[in-house]
Amino acid sequence: METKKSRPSPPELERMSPKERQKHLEERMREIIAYAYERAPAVKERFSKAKVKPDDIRTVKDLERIPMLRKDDLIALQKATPPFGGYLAVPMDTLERIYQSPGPIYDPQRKRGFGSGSALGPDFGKGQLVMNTWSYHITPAGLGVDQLLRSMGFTVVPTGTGNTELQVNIMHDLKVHGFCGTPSFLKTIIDKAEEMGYDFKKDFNLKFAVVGGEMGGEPLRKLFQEKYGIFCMGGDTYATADVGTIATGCEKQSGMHITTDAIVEIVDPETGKQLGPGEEGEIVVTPFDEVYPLIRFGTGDISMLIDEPCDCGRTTPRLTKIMGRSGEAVRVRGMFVHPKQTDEAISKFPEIRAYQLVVTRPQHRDEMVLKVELSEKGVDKEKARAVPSALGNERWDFTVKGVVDREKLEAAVDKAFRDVCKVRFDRMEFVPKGTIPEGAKRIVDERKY
Amino acid sequence: MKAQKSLPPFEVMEKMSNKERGKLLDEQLKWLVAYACEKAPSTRARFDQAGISPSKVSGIKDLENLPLLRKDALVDLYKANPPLGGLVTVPITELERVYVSPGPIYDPHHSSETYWRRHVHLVNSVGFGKGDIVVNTWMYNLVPAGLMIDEALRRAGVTVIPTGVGNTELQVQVMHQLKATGFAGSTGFFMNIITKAEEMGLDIRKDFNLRLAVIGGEMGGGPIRKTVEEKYGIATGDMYGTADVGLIAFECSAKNGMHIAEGVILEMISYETGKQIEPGEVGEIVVTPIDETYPLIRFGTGDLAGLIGEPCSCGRTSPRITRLLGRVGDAVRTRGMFIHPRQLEPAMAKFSQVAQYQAVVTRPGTRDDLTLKVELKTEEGINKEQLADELNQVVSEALRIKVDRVEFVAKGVIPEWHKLIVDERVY
Repeated sequence: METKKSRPSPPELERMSPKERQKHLEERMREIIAYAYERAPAVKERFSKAKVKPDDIRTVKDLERIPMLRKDDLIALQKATPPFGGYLAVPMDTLERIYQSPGPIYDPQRKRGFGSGSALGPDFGKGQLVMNTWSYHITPAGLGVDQLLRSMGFTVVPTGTGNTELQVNIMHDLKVHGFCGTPSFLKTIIDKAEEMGYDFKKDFNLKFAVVGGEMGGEPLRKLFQEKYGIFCMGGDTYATADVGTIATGCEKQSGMHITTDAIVEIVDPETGKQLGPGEEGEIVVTPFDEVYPLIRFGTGDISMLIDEPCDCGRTTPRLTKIMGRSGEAVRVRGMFVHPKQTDEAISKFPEIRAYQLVVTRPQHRDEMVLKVELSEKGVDKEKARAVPSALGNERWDFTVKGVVDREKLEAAVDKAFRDVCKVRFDRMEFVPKGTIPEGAKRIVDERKY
Repeated sequence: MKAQKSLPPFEVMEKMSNKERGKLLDEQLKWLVAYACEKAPSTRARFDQAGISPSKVSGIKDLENLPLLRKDALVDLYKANPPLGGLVTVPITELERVYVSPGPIYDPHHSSETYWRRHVHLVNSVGFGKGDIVVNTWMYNLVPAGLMIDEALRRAGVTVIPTGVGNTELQVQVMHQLKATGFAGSTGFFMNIITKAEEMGLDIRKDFNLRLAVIGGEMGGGPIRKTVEEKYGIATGDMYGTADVGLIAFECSAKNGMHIAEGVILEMISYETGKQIEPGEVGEIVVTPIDETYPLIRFGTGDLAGLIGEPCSCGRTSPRITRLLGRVGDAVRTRGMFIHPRQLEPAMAKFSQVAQYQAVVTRPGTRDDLTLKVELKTEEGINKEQLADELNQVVSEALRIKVDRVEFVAKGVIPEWHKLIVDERVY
């Protein structure tokens, strides 16, 4: 798809009158729909099922005629037509990378990454070092942010997650200017630095942070700014693995401006109908993406729109904070945990008859406790044999003379859980039989912000 | 300063005569030395200390008196001259990325054209290209390995799945579902994945689409590779490199040693004399990659390999080395001679009665004393006196110094994981 010469740039789009911008965005929307319909078989099929033709979709309002594409639908589609469920609009061998996110769900590296639509130019980051603590492995977060930072002229230190003490040393030695990651990980680093005897404000050069990926980051952002003088750039950034950046905060830090290279709707998750500003609903995105044009992708995240003008000069609507998930999955320390995943991890242990994962947030950090009920008479060996082994030969060691070795079991569950969910729980709690009612929710979010 | 000339296409260079290639590389080196001495103060200091005038360098032969730059010296330089050791030719904020290796060494991300041409050519030569989907299991966080190989693969037209290390089960799933055609990572980790896949009930030949596994970086991977090829029908390849200089050698389809990549000047240096070795001998791999971002001149890898003299059947004329044979640091200088585990190993392999062994160097008076401790599999039916004589003779010959005594020890005296030669001298 060629870009027309007369097309306004992202900064221009962000500052024009809403009516004029709508005209441009709808034009691009029509183009991407026509393009996707032609190149991505799954799009054509979805349209046919809904009895709509690309020509029927002229305005954003018309999008309501197309059923939303939910993450679960996409997972099912990918299973049926691997690896991209019929949504890939370019030849496979032109892809630079393929990622996997929990689900499992595969994401091709798109052209529209985590950065396009940003109003900041390629010289914005010149002369500054940024530590990128998003994980570089498997999911698109780390590499996506890395690419964006480099395109803005920053020098990236690709540290990834974990190794807190080493992160402190790097931040100190290299006089790092900026941090990218979750607010709670930055807090962990600052705490560690202080524990190591540093005066964070004096001994470090950290000037800004781009933090996100967690709900409830506001108190921490306030702490970073007020106590440590770390400017939280853009307030929050909202992105998902499937469609990239959806909204970015500005220097006024009052909500997140929605991107100009996608159509973002807020809809009633039940009916798929669009909701107005001030109404809570699910964020639905149609990215202008030539590689992977997911039309009307339901993120599962709940938020609402503000359409009053912002003091920063941008006229784009803003999302308030992300208020929760429309489905059952919860986002913990920046990673989504689905009941499907926890089932997968726990099902390997016939010693466990019931479980419940409880998420709380005692002090600016998401905490996960896995409550488990043990099977009454140790293990049913026949059943155990049928389940794929989680730990190879050590599998049988948990039950000795009918008694489960809890420490060993916890270690093994911890490993299986991490393998599948990519985050780890803080502790396992053995509860008496009957504590977890039949049919109880497997993941309970008890966080209060 | 004159601009750097571009090297001819590497497909052309790899077929050139050694003389022709040498001439081109010497020309590049001349430019690189001048450039590095101007932009990298620590390199300038190395030349000054060795009394070599950068402007008088016209080829690698002129650098024989420049002491090697080894890893521990590199660590010291990074400590003394933060943040980049005075070794990188651009300011830190002009780099795209800064990596962190143990030391700490803050490795720069390379932007040199020759560097990336070398990597693309190397990846293509090892057998990856457009249409391949490769699982890259080298670590992407902190160290340069993962992101460097990722970029090399992508530049070579490959679609990369950036899995990184760990999560074995997930790796199996991804490889299976995405029909990956290739694997890049360590030999040990590849075998973990294969084992896990079989445990999960998958048939590697039928359920996987793996064509080529480039597994390397480890010594003694030979038997494993044979298994991978024969049992699972997956071709294997090898690449060799270090965090500091990137990839520098690869195995071609002839699978008979590793070619030095184009764009790298190789010297094979004797750890005994410090001089260039002859083909057929074993020495340290010393490289000077043509790389203006991070010009490490005469970088001593510390890795030992043999230099192969015969031309390769693949048609490439580039220098060739054997698989890695050990580390320089493993050698113990005894009575003036370096003795190295790689000499001891083949000698001891001749004695099937031996379970464990260890050579111990002590210094009771003013003379180095060499004891060979031996643990037998069984003592039954063994004439110890005779065996001791045989061992003494064979090992003394292999080490080129006389073994003072052979000592039979009980089971457990030699720990399971041990150095083959241990230095217990106290001065």
